[in-house]
Amino acid sequence: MVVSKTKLGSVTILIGTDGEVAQALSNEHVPGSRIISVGYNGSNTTARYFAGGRNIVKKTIGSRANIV
Amino acid sequence: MVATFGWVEYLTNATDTATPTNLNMGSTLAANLAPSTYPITAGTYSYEKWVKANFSDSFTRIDNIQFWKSAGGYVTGETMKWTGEQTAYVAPTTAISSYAATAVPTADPGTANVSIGGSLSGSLTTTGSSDFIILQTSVTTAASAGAVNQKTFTLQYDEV
Repeated sequence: MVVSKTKLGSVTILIGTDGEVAQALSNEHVPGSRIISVGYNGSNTTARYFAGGRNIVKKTIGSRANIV
Repeated sequence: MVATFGWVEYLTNATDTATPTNLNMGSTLAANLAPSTYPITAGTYSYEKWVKANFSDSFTRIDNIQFWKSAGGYVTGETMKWTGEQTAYVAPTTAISSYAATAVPTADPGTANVSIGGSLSGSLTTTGSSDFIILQTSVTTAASAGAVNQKTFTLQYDEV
């Protein structure tokens, strides 16, 4: 279960772990709706939204380097 | 259920793998390397970074994988090249890469640029991985010593 679900106008905000939010997204998406979630784990984030009949997932990962 | 995503990094051979939490580039072949411990010497190349996107648990289909550098500018003399379409493992090298030969996209490509099963239109219907994503940093002698700007890479996929 997501920890929190808030609806602001046409925007639904879900708070929970990525898996929880992903499951809620899978269960609750409605054509034309747009549900976005962002999770944070170290330098890695997850964003999910529903558009064009598909669940689109974006994962980020960081990269650093040093030069000598 | 939905798919569970994870990065897999390939090291000394095709079964020597690790789970990276970053894609730090440097002068050693290791996941999650410390950049200050393994800096890149100006005028040389980093070790190639060979990773795959792995998908497990329950899903109907994964496809349309896209990869790009979404944040972090280069410093003078620094560039990163890549490929997202390598199907067979080859040991990573610090020589100029034969595979990571194209500049990393700096914006959402809009269409798949990471292959699955050797095809950009490929898909997964059960647990499996993308083909290899290979990255390599090049640093010319024009680069100044020190930390470069942190980069953020985004990997996007469609889940049905």
